[in-house]
Amino acid sequence: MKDINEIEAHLSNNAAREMCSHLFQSGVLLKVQVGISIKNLLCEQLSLDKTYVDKRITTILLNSQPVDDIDKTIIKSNDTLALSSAMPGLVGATLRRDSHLAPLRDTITFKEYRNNDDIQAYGLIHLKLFNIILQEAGPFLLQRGVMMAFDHVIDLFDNKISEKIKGDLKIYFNGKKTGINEVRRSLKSNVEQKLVILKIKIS
Amino acid sequence: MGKILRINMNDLTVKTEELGEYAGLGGRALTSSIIAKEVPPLCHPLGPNNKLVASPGLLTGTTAASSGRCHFGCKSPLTGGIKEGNAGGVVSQKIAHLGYSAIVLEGVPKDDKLRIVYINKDKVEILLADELKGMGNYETVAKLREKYGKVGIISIGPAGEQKLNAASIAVNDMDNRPTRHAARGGQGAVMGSKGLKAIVVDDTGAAGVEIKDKDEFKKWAKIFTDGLLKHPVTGEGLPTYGTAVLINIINEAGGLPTRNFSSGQFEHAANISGEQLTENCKDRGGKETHACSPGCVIRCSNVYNDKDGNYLTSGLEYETIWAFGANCNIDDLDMVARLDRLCDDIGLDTIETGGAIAVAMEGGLLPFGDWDRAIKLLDEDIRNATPIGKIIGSGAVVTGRVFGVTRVPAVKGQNMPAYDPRAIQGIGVTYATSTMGADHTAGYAIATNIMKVGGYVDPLKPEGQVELSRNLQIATAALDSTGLCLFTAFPVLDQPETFEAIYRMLNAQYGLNLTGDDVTELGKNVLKTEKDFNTRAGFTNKDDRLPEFMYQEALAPHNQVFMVKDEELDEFWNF
Repeated sequence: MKDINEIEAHLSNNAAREMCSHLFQSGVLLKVQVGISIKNLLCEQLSLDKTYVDKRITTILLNSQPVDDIDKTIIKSNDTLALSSAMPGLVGATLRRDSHLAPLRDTITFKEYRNNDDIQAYGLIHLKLFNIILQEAGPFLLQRGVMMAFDHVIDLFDNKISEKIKGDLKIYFNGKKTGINEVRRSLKSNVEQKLVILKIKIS
Repeated sequence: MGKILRINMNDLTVKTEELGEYAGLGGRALTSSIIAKEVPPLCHPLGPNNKLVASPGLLTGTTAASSGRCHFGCKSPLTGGIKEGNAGGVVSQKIAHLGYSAIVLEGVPKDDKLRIVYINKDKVEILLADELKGMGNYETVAKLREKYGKVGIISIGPAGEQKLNAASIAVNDMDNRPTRHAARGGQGAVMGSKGLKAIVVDDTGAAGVEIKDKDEFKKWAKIFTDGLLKHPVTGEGLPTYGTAVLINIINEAGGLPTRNFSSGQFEHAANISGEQLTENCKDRGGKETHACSPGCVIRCSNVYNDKDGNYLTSGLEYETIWAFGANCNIDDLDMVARLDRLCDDIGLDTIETGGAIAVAMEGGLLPFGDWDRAIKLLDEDIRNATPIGKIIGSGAVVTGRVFGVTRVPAVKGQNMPAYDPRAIQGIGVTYATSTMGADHTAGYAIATNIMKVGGYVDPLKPEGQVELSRNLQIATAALDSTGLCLFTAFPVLDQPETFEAIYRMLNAQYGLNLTGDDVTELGKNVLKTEKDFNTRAGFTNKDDRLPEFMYQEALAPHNQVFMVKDEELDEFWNF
């Protein structure tokens, strides 16, 4: 990971919340150990509290399929994992882990058998956070750092982040304080490297 | 128990009578019982023999949290079958405080005059109101509030006056805006057919609701409230994001119908998500949490302002955002909010109207994503009763016929809500079998295994979908009779004491000895009553089916068709 460009954005709590909202709803990339269970990924790799995972992250989708058993479901490279709290509505309740209404979504439930042969290997996964989980875990994970395609980072700073964040923003590029234009120039000139690490520091 | 107020719009007479054979019923149980017994099933829904019933639930008017739903029932002009729909707002508690269990509107007028009904503790008056003709709900409510003060108002907009199939009935909210609607099934058209623009309810000085055992009621009401507040959905998720929180997760699960049910995922879902809605409400001085009726502790509604901070609409919900958003390929939340405002003002069901516009988009009337034309269809065409406005306002099925569209996502004539049944097959069972037509609220999340309705369901059994749907529909019919918001179902799902609190409150209020079994028996009776009406109206098991294209056209991303067999669907009514 050392040879990947790193952008650290220093911003306020409110600005961090807005950035998280933009990033995690459509998803970020994480380089993680694969071949392990979702539970292991969340608790060990991402350092989320076990009780938080059990009680709070009650709806989990892997590649758009609802997951019931997070202890046994194995993560592989290129997976998309979406985390949510308990959702309202019949369908919201149906999608919950181990919902007794699970038969109502039986045909899309994640059932693929996967062995854990890949354990110890690292791979990229796509992580999405929604609703309360986004609010609570988003800033924590973004402080640890996520990976993004560089054009998505440029789009984030150029288009998606509101003016109120820009005014509140300090940028460090590979440890050196700089401006967003300099970051844009550097990233565009480096055609070899498609990914960057984005971190935040809440000030 | 309250009384029945009967208002005959033919001879303009009013009478009050005891509940009689309807004693012990409220809400949906009462509206459906009156319609099934008193309305000829083969009558024209807009003719003199149909009736429109408004009824508070059994707990409405008490201090029970979130119990302010007002239920409306009639023979539906959209489906041709029985219809119940309910709304929040301030009117239901006022009707209960005046001692009425139901208001029944009968007959059609001999002239083409428009009227209102004014009700207070001393009198019921039928008054001419031609000055309100063609007026939107917002202006109607403002004028009536100005004249009558702090009142509850049930009203219709231009769509109801035009007797359109998608016309809704509006109820004013706590900010005196007409944002709460009994929207589905064209009940606003039935009110319009009776020449009635509004019912104004003034409970000043009313006696209120009698409670037999006040201490016992207070005790269980507190347990019930605590149950709502401590549950993650009703105590946190819904107050924080409202129902729009579902957009992202249903989209991720591949069940968000997109571009007239041609895909299960909308690529711009984040732009119209509950998370985005909440941000906009915060940034623009709106309200991200807002109660739709007095005593609601869930507060899942919102107040949505435009970019300049001016009020735009309230109660912008998941179904509406989906109907005009993903389903019409519109990814701008502000435009969706404008369409919602127009529906509230004109008096239209957002699901049916959004569905009809999406069908029209597929039929080539306008391109998918054309929000500007969609706004004109509502504000110019439907409001002013142009021919194209009348077509769209007649719902998705009529629109599909006019434009030669075969992919019309409707059951029993009613457009499907915001969950594609090819992804969530179990909800397809409810869409198919519901007495109401495609209806997401017909089978809600009451805990089967808490209530033991119809026995314990083995979640591993493939036939569990039909059995679950049946049990959910029975439980929902019972809950709909109490006046409680359906969202109270979530704590009931997870917390047995919250479910117990419902029938304990009923016992304390009425001096009864109900058990959980009695509540479920009530739900079964409601469903059977409604089914019997529909059968007499000409419905058969062939009407309990999804549209043909859903059996043939696989839905991305799961690439599935609807797979529940006809014979399994037919098992639904075996109870």
